[in-house]
Amino acid sequence: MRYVLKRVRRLIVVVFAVTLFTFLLVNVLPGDVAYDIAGQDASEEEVQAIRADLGLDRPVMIRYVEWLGDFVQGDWGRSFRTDEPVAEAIWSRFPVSLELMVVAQVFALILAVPFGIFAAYRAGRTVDRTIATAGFMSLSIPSFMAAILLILVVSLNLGWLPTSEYEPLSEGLWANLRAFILPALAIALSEWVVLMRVLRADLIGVLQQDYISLARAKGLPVWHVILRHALKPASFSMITILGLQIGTLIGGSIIIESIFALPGVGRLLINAIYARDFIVVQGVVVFIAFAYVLVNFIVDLLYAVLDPRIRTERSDG
Amino acid sequence: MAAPLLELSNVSTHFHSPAGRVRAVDGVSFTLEAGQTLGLVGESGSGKSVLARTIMGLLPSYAEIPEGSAISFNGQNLLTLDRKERRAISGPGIGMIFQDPMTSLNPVMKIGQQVYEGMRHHFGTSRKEGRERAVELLTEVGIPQPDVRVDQYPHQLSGGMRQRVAIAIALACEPKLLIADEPTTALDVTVQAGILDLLQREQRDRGMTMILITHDLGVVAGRCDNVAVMYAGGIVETGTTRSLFARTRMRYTQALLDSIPRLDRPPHERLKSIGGRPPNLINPPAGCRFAPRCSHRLAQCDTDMPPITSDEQDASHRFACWHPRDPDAAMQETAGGDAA
Repeated sequence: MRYVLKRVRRLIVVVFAVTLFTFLLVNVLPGDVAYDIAGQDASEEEVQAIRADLGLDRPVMIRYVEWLGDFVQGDWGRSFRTDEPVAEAIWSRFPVSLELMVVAQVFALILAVPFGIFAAYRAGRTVDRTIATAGFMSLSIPSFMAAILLILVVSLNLGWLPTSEYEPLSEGLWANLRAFILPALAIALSEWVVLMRVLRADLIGVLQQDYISLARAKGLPVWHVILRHALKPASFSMITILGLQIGTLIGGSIIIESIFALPGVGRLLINAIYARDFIVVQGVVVFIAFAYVLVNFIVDLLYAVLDPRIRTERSDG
Repeated sequence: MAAPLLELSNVSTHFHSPAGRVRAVDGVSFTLEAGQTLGLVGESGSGKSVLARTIMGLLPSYAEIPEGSAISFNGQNLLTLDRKERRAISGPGIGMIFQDPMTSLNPVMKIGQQVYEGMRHHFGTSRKEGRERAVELLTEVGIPQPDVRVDQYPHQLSGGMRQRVAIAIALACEPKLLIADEPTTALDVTVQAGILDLLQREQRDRGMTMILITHDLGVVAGRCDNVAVMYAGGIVETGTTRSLFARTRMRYTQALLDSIPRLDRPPHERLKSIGGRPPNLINPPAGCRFAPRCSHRLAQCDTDMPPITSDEQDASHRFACWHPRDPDAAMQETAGGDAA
């Protein structure tokens, strides 16, 4: 319980720091939302009027404190442009980003775990080096390049999957999932390599432990020793990295969502930045900070599930 | 007597290192009759543990067992079996206990499961039955509240208790041969005797054959039928425990005996230790490997490897020394020394 309180306190500090920074940073950007609302032909007076109307003519710090006050009371504000409540805008787009993240991480794990195990088991041999080379090639391709290549090959040449047709879940699971395969793969192609490498490194260490020798001395088959004895204690670093990746992806992937026209949080953010729609940017940033801290909190809890020693420490402390 | 349970002939284990070939075990031969206990004694780095791992088939990939080595267990040469046949022997054939119970138990697996998973694999025991057997075994090795402990994790037990769990694990598949690799070295002195007594009792009750590896000749006395003393990868003296202690021939064995603290010596007396270090096993000395540290060295010791010789009174007591102790003369020597 005390542990949870400590976490919440840290979350508050993080959110405060992050929001203050973005607020200041976004205000440094040239131009503001008033120009966007007024349109290209508007006179300077009209723009000024809109600005005064939105309260943008007041000093930054006052606006920040005001926003923070509303936020603490649960009011995330409304978009300057569309008048849509910010919280609602985020919540309606979040499932798309979440699904993209989940599918991408599932792909990444499907690649990382078997290859990581294989590379560790045959460390230093040809198989290990081949996997490492393939991994670094995969990692060096930027995700937008991977996305374009995947569209080119899988969609256009082979015609297996649509290029960009987002369907909500109400249209059926497959129709919905289909749109996520290529974008998720484009993300997974760089994520899996890091997961694979840390799993390999940890597994090599674990395989030299006495308890692995003991498991082998019981006459257990190699796959049983690796999967039942070695994998769990070797997966801590991988899970930490996985948590960080999930934290980064949960706020949406701006590039991938843009390329594949997925209506996720990432696209909401980038559009809001283009339009200088500060209050939406602010909302999304807070949301991402929350998600990040929450995911890492869950990862910490997961350690305890994996390692009984941490469980005891927690209950003692 | 029937054919021996375990017979090693000319067993070597070499490691490939960047500096060259390390001869960790070099031409070891011995036989072990069923039901007997062999004490394998030597300093750190003498090759005891590597030999245990060689018998157990737990060598790392950079180890090599040269041609001409043979380990015959129950009539089968362990070195020529395929992996599956070899695995079938680990557990029901040969069990092993490791030195440090802090690292030899899986920290993230329940104790019960670690005890019964070997049975599940070899005999297809059900999970429920395995758990019951695990509780029985934990009771047998002297763990209090076994029905609670069975669902706990290793970190919830003390070192001595963990070593008892490790013994239960090794006993689970009822091995014919048990290799205990320094089972008490990592433990508190206060629990060492308890663990050794437990091993001795299990060995006797089950009619098991046992190899007890230790660096402490004191552990061997009274617990082993035979003793083999290892130095620099080879066996330098072997015989029945009685003969080896009563008629110590090899200078190295005597040096080991002298280094045991004794209650009949004056308090605060400086312990005798063996000067120098064990030789480099990449380029071992041409002659006797103990020669550089031996106080009775002759010129011949540096150039020629001493052959294995038998004791005049007991042919099974063998040693490799050019200039062995005369046990009868030594007796008087010690007596005279004490009187002075």
